[in-house]
Amino acid sequence: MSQNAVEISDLQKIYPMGELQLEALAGVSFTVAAGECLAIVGESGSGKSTLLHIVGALDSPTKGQVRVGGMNPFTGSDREVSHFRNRHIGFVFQHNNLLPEFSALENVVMPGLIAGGEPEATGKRATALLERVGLGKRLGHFPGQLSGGEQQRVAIARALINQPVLVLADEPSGNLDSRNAANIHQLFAEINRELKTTLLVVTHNQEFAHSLPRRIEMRDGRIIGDSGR
Amino acid sequence: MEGNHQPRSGSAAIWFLLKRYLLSSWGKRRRKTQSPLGVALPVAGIAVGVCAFTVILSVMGGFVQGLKKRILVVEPHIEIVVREGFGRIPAKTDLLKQIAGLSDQILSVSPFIKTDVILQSRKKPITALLWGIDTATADRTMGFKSYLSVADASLSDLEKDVRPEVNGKTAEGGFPSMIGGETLLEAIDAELGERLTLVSTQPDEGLGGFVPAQQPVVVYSSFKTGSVTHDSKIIFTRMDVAQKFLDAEDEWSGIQVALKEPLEAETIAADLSRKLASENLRAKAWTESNKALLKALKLERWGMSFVLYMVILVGCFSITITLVLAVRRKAREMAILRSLGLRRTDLGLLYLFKGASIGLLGVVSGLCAGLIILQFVSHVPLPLLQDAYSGRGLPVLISWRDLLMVSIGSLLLSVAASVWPAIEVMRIDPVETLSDRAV
Ligand SMILES: Nc1ncnc2c1ncn2[C@@H]1O[C@H](COP(=O)(O)OP(=O)(O)OP(=O)(O)O)[C@@H](O)[C@H]1O
Ligand SMILES: [Mg+2]
Repeated sequence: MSQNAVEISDLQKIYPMGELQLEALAGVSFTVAAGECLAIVGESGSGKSTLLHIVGALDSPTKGQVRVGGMNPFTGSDREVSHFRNRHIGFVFQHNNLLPEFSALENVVMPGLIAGGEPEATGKRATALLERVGLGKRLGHFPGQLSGGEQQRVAIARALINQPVLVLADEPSGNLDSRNAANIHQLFAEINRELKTTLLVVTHNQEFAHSLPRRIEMRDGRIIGDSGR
Repeated sequence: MEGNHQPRSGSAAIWFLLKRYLLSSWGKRRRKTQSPLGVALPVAGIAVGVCAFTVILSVMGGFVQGLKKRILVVEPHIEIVVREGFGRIPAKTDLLKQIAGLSDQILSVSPFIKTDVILQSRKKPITALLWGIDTATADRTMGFKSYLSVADASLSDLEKDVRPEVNGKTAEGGFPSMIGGETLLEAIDAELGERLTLVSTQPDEGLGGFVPAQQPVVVYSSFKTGSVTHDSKIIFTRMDVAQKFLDAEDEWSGIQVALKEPLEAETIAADLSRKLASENLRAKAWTESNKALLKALKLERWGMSFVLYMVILVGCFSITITLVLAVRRKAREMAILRSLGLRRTDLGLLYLFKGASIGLLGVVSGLCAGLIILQFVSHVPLPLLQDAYSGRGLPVLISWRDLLMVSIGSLLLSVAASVWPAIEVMRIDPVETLSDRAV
């Protein structure tokens, strides 16, 4: 198997807008090595979220190739694509990641249950992960009882529960104050170091982006800078 | 796709989600946006429908059963008559034995003669239906002994000749006794012990020209079964009186048959008819003679069931409303679940199950409430109904088959009501919903 976690070539996403066509992605190619931690930056509307959704098989490209962990996520049925997301991808969105009716622990367990995992073992793993992100005392708390920063940390723990090939985070600290944001950034860096999980983080936070080993900058659906190559 | 080893089972996750979403609206963690009425209203709607169905149809069933009982007090379960027209059959005791042996469903048989007559009292005449019966066996084909007005009277008393009473004094001479429906006797102001005259409706071509046949009788007892059509129409005498009156000494109108299972009369009658076809006889079930009434009752039951199904249907509409609102409110959560790897079809199933669970809750609570109400009305006399059912609760006949049908029907309707919400939840586009453009 290749050492690359992600291989993308000539990725295009076109939204038809009446007469015009809106190119959200206009031919994007790059590779990410396994265990790499990558920041994606760029102004608003440059196509960062679109890219992340396609890599995570939540959206499909108009044209181009995506391989994640050697797999092509788009060739299957909904059943197979869902399976792919469940096992190999962990998402962290900007806000309201959690299911409000479920406790922190239950939220983290959920992808494990979807995977058909053994509940007890999954629960143990989830507890360990929540302890790792510093929420060992908040297992039974519901999202409404957690701060924004704590909620994001639960979401990160949940993204890791099935030991995915790739964690995709779309402005995970976008809704947080600078102190909480810094905590989240630090957590991502630590996770990448400890678990060797490949990370793709979209961020507007320059400081965070510059702290990461590699940055890709986008504009108008194209890559205009890649600090890694 | 490579790396897809085995199809995972998301059923544990669906079950977990279902449980929480059904209960969360009641728990302490209730969110302000979510009213507990969301689940309670459709449950209550279906419960009301199922409860009404249980109570109303069971009470109607009890009423119809009582009515049938009253009809069967007088009418035999089956009458063996000639195949076509209104002819009579020769009186042969062999035939009785033959018919009694035709089916093991037959309890007893008894010959009878039946004719329209005019019953004349001192004051006025009235048309009546005269049944000449074999007093030795008729008690076993007609069960109305306990409905006679004179205590200790029985049909075999018809064997007696009695003397009429005039102004409280017994007069000279004896005449055959007669038992008549209470309403009928009241209509002509006839008293017990009074002498009445049976007058033929057929002119008799005797020596004196066209003089109708006449036969004096004495009222021995009256009967009241509660079935108006019988109480206002029928009189009984013993067989030979009616035969002589009709000038049909060696003939019967037919043979009454009592069955073990009166409600099976129709099928048994069909069977007997087939066996008796060669004798030019046929079997007529009691349901055939009361066809119009029974049909009306059946129609009423159908109509009522239909109305109550409509009530349940309306309850199911509120399932649709509740679930559609839930889908809208939870769109982001559903998109998150999709990003976690829950399948589109799993989300659809989640909502179908949610609708089915609401339906099940409604059915179970409706059945329980209905059965409790039935216990109550069948044991506690209702002041409103004191006239008809004095001192007793309402008669109740629970048809478990109907209740099973309505339960299954309600569940199916609940699932059907969840189809549209399920389609809506499956149509959620996670990308659109998760990006903040879509608000
Ligand atoms: N469903 C859609 N229909 C039409 N245009 C779309 C659709 N989704 C995205 N776009 C467009 O595609 C472009 C890229 O959007 P995208 O969300 O990827 O940007 P972004 O880089 O994530 O921006 P931000 O930093 O604001 O989140 C935008 O111009 C957006 O308007
Ligand atoms: Mg974005």
